[in-house]
Amino acid sequence: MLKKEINDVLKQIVFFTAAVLLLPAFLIITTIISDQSYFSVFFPMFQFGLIFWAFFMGSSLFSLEHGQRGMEYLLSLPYSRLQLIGFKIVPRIIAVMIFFVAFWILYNAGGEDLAALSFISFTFTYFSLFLISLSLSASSQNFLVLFVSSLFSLIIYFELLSVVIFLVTRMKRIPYYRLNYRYFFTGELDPYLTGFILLAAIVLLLPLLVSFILSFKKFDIRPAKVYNKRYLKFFTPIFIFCFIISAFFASQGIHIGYKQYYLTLDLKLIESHPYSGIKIYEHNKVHKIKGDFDFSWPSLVDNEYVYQIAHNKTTRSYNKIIRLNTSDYTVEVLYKGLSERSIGWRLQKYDQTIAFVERKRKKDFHDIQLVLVDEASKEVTRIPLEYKLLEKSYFPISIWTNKTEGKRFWLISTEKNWKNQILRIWEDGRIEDIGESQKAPCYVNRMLISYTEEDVIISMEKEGRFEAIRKIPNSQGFKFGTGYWRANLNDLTFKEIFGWRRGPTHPIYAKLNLENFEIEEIGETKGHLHYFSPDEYYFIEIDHVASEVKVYEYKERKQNLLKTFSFNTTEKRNRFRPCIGGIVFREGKKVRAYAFPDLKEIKFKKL
Amino acid sequence: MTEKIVEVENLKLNIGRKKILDNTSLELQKGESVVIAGRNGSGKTTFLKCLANVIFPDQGSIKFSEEVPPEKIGYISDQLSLFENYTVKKGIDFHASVFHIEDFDYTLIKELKLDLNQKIKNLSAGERTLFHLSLILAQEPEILLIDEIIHVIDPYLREKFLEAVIDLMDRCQATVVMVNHTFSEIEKIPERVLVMEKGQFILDEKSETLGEKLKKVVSEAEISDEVPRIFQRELSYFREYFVYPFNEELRKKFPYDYKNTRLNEIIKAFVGGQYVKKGNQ
Repeated sequence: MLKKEINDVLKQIVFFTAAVLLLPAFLIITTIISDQSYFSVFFPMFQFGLIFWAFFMGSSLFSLEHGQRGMEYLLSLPYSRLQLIGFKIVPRIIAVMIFFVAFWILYNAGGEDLAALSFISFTFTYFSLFLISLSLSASSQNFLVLFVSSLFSLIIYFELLSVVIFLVTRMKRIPYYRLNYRYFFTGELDPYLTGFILLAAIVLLLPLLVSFILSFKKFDIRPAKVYNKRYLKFFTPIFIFCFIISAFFASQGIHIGYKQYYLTLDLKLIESHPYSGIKIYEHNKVHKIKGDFDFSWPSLVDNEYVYQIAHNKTTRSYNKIIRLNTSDYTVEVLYKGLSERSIGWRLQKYDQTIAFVERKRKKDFHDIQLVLVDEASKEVTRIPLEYKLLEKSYFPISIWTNKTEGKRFWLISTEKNWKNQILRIWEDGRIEDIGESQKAPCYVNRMLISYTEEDVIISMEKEGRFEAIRKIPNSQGFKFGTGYWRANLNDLTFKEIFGWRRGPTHPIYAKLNLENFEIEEIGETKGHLHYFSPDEYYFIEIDHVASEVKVYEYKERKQNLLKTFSFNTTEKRNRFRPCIGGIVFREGKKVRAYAFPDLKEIKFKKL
Repeated sequence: MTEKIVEVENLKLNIGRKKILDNTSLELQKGESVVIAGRNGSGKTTFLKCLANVIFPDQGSIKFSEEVPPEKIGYISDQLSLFENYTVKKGIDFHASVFHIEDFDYTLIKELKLDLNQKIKNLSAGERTLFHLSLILAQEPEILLIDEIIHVIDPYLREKFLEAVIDLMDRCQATVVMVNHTFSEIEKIPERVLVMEKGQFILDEKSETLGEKLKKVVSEAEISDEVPRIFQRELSYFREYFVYPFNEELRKKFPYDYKNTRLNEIIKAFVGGQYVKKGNQ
């Protein structure tokens, strides 16, 4: 009997292989498809063919017997129903595996770029469809009915998995979107969570398979509805049970989120636990602040104030600005915009005014406005910007501020690696087009640093206009900047700023001396620059192979190793976090903080 | 001494709301030959399929004695179900491998002059029946279950078929259960006659005693209502009464001309009686 099944499946393998190999050849020879290599035509066809193959292998369990009126004969053979299933399933599983391995090899041999579905999506769909169609194979003799019901069940199955994930996130009060469940299908999700989602997915398939096996134990030649009734009788309680188990597994993987830490300038440690409030640790004290706040990634730090752009949990738009006072441990909502609008990532502050750019979230991020919020009165002033260059797609927008002749202005520009328009917006709403920069510009020491293809242009204000005072050759394409998340850059005077470009293995850095306007190339550095203050520079090098992170300080034209942190850098629960006050390092459940400039560990007794 | 080989207890089977088998029970003895008759839809074929493991009853049990492992049950369905895309040779090889038959007896195949490379689907109904029988006989079955197939084959092949069945009974002491409508050809085979109605056996008699218990009265006038009958019919110039159960006391009380009748007619009377009953309901 097994021999018969193996022969049947072998014939099907030969037929399928011939079809997927010859069809592309036919299309190329007949020039229906031209100017394409055989492999580029073959591989996408092969991938879709395999989806059908998975369905066919599953649903054709009894199709040959039905087709040649041999069902009664088959059932009268001296085998139990389970033996019959065994004889039929084993060669089919092998056939499905053979083609999966073939796919895997071809995928890695250049098929990846041609694949219509990602490897994980395909694998998941392929095996799910095989098992679903297998479990439905006895429910009808009609191949078309089986095809439609299998596809329908596959869709329902995927949706059910989403429902399980959604319910678990609701139960745990985690916004569904924060889970980024879609990344499960691209393989980009945390492996820990992926494992549990996979378990939940397998458990959800069990009702189909178990019901099939249990109901097939008494499968006979009566009309399919008799079998289907028995199938549903088993399916319903098993499904309810497995749904609960699946949700249990999902709940083990889906957690409320890891605690995030941020070290402030005055060396207070902010612990943000998503959706359950924050804690502020001091040497031997801890302050709890209840509320739905998250200060894990501040946009701006100004003395004791930490500003965070927060999101609306329903609409997912980042439309709020919240402010934490680390002296009196209060949190305040400074600004709440419309849900269809989103705040750009950069905040700028002068006196008591917070400035930022806000735009519509959808439809090309249009309708851009400069928004000014008075911290004391919370009064909002909006200045619409109708410049096309800022629209079409999302880019971060830099914003600087200063005064000239007693009048406040803001400079804004996109941060693209090609043409950026620079605008100056005056208090009275007047908008001045300053010009263009081929790299993201920056404004420091009252100087505007912009770029042409070959040069760095240093401009200063003269009689109310920016005029180029220096043109520095920059054939190597360095991009200079001052960094973000600090307020009142205008109050700081930089002697020099750093610029960088890509190197063969490490980034290559250079310094721009703001006194003599000379570019000094530092060369290939270890790690990326982490800006801190005009006089202190820290480079951070992450080595996933060696599982370590090294922190260097840059002093007297040398990179000196300050500290090496050894931990599993690819594990998402581990987190290395450079902050304004130092570095917070979490490995598993242990959290340690190290303060700049010497990275001495700071102890928090209650942490 | 009889030896129980199958015990069927309280089989129940529904298809939709329709009862097909309703508390059906039966015992079969080793070596006996049984014919199951009944009108269409009475449950005969379903019952046979239950014995052949092709249909599972909703309730009840079928117990085979230890002498009857699954490979010793031979079943020829009314559909003559086989893998019909196979050639005769491939069909034989497959059947032989499944039933562990070492020396397949090609006698019947040769007598029929079947081409071994011919596909089963191209065989005539008669050839296919005999081919199927040859497969089953090679199993040397302890129980042979034959559904209504005899009527589809021509007289020559029918004779061959019955000869082979009788030979099996003689040779292997096999129990044969046949579902049949027409008894003219097989009158000598059954030792026991069962009539089924609405999923139950309403008659279970030895053939030899059945002739004693059922008599026919042919009369121009109506006979007394007190004479028990299973069926009566009015023909052009006379009436036929099938008296059941008959005994000598009845003859003394109502001295009609009680005639012996053939098995074929007896079965027809039982089946006809059920149609009349149904009409009266």
